[in-house]
Amino acid sequence: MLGSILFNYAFGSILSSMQKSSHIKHKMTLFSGILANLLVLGYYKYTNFFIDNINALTGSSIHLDTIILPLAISFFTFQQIAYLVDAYQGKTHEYNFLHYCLFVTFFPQLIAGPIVHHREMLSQFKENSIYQFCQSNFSIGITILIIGLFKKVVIADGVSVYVSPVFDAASDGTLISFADAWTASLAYTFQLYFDFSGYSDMAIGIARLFGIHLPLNFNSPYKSINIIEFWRRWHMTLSRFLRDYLYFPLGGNRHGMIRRYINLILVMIIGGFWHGAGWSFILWGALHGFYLILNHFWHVIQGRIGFDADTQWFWTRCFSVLATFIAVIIAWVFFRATDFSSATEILKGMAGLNGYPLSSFYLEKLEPLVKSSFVQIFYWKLTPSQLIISSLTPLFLIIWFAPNTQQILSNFKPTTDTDNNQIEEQSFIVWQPTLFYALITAAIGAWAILSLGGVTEFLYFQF
Amino acid sequence: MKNTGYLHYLSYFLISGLLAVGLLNYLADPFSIFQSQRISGFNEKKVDFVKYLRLTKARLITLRKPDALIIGSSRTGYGLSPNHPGFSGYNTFNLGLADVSMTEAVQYLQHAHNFKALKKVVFALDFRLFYKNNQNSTISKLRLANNGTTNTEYWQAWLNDYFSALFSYDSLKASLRMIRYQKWETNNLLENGMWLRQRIGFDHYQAFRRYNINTIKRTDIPPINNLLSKRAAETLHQYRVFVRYCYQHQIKLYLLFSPSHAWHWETLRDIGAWPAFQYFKQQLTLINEQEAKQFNQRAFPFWDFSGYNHYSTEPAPLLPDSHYYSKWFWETIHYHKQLGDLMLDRIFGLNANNANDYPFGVHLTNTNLASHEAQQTQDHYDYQATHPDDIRIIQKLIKQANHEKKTISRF
Repeated sequence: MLGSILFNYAFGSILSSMQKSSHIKHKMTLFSGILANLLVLGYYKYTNFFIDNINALTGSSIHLDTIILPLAISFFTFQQIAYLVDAYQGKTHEYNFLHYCLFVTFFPQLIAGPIVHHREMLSQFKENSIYQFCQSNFSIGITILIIGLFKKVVIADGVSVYVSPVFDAASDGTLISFADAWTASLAYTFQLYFDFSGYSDMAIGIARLFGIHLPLNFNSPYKSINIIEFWRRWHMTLSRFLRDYLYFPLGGNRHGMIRRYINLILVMIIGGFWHGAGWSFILWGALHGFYLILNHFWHVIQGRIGFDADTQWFWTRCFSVLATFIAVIIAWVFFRATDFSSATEILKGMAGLNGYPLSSFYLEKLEPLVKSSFVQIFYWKLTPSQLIISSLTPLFLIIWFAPNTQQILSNFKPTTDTDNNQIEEQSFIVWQPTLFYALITAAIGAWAILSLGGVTEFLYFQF
Repeated sequence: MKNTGYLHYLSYFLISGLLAVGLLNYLADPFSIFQSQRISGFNEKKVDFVKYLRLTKARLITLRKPDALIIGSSRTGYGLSPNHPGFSGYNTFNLGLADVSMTEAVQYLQHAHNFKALKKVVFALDFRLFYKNNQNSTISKLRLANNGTTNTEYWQAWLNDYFSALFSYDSLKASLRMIRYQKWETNNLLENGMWLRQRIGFDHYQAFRRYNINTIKRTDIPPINNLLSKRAAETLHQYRVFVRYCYQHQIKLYLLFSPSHAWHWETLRDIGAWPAFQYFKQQLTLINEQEAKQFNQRAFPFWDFSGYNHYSTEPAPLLPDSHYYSKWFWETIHYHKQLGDLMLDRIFGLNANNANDYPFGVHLTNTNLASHEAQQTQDHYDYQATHPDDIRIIQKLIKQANHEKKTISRF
């Protein structure tokens, strides 16, 4: 990381000072800087993936020991590529080296984002106020941190128990029923959102303890009425990066419809590959690229006939939200599955091709969960289906009807203002530093802290 | 309210909430690690104790510092009592752990010996110890003092256990579940490590069938020509480590093979596991004698209670019958304390009259292995000839288990 910082800071300074040099030379310098970053990322993150594929294609048996991935390399590489591009375009200022180091290594967002931009961070590091303790920032920061922790350890980790048994069974070739497949894929859809947005909230909260504002990263994405909107609400800082530093340089929508669609699918495939070194991620990206093309095409048709189904009526809007949600779930199946065939097994199950009730292997896995669930403790006869319904239903209510963290704290500017940061809806819950909110925050904080650890259980087959 | 007040109240509520949960978990003590007072209707019965035994028993050993142990699986937990006259004069602890692995048995033996020099150990062996994988051996590895108590990993593991037992959602659920189920729970863990189960309401008919099916589903025997596979070799090595440890530390070890109902032995034969069972028995006897020779000592007594006898051929519940009464077995695998007492009588040479009434257990040596095996095969034919209804049911259960196995795949 230190090498990367030194290299990029030096390269950024060179690029800034080359504004008057020849265009080709300037561009080649930028190109070599980006290439160096991508090569490092490629070596650490993708070498084994490429070797496995070469072995599979050629029948060779090249073996390489596992390469340990440097912490947060995916994030700091993108952040610094953005810095180099902006330096090339003359958009950077003479930054203090220590501030630059802090920008790259700022620990709250280092591991799981948001992907911050040098402009929004380095300007804040100049402010003297961030080096002084501020009770207001601390109150807001700790509240966001607790909400994020709750999302991660209570909701995301809590729902994850429904996911693995089915996806593992699918990779073993077991037939997956309709109920198995929908439970696992829905649970994974929730797990991913609460996990990722929980991490983002924690990052935003921790940064705020120090008076630093981070950009908004999740804005209730499952409320989206189409896939275009979904990508404006899901991992917003990644979308921003891909748009500004990949989609626009590729030509964006400036070279006709076909070229635009090619750009879209290319950007989404690269975005997918960034998430992980595997074909399933590439497939997931390609699928979202395909969704986006369909969505843009549909907008063209709607524009021609003068009808907007997404917003025309309440029911068409509901239908749009549901259709988008289902499309996203299907894509997540590819994201989670270990290989294409197990993803297909899950999709077959979702289509009802393997029967409907919960399978015996899944029931066996659910039994201990039923026994130890709070509902079971106070209500004698809880069935596995009831457990699933009682666990997942509240999450539907949260993703579709509850305000998000930023809306709850909207009076206190929880995140930086970016062009993505459009919190249009007014929340029916508005946080204030009151006794009531202290009690609520403490309750969910205690719940989250209690969920951090646990006593290892031995799952014994009992009757 | 200003931010100062908000932060004060937030801290106050948060800390109070956590402390309240910690206090409840401490008083309820569902894992029996704080030695909190057992109060009737509140925490007297340790509901779900089987799930936490690895933690509980590791802790109880540090507290009770026993000088005699009974090690084994759940059968040992239910059947072999530390209060048996054969242990008089000893501070004995029942270290029965559900589905114990051979590696764990070694780890817990060393853990106990670290706190007090062991003098007497009864090790109840199960066939399953030697063919199953070793997946449980890491659960308690760090919290066991088999490498002494001075390493930081040991204390970190215990700190983590204490903290989790007080301040975790899992513990809170375990406490609440335990308090709520006091009225209905029929099992309990005694202070001496023994498992207690109430006979009233126990459905022997269902239990015989379910346990037999479970045996078939879980018995993953390597083919006889592959018995020296890595897994089998490793478990036999761990057994050697166990026996050697006892020879080295002057611990008087009693080895035994646990009894099961005849249904269990018939099932093992039907699914082709019997040759592997005999192979392990032979190896275990051999290793014991090899180690004795190595240390120039007499071989530890090795008792075989497996096979067919008056007790294991006790009539099984062929039809649902609420009046069915089993004197010796809960189901096909777990035996009652009464039978456990007879076994301990036998190995300690007490109450010889009982043994004369009905032959039970054979003192195994390398010289009588073959004749004992021949006798067991003859007993098997006799049982088949005299119990056609039992055999029919067993075959039906094997079919059912194989069908369930297919649908459950590799889980």
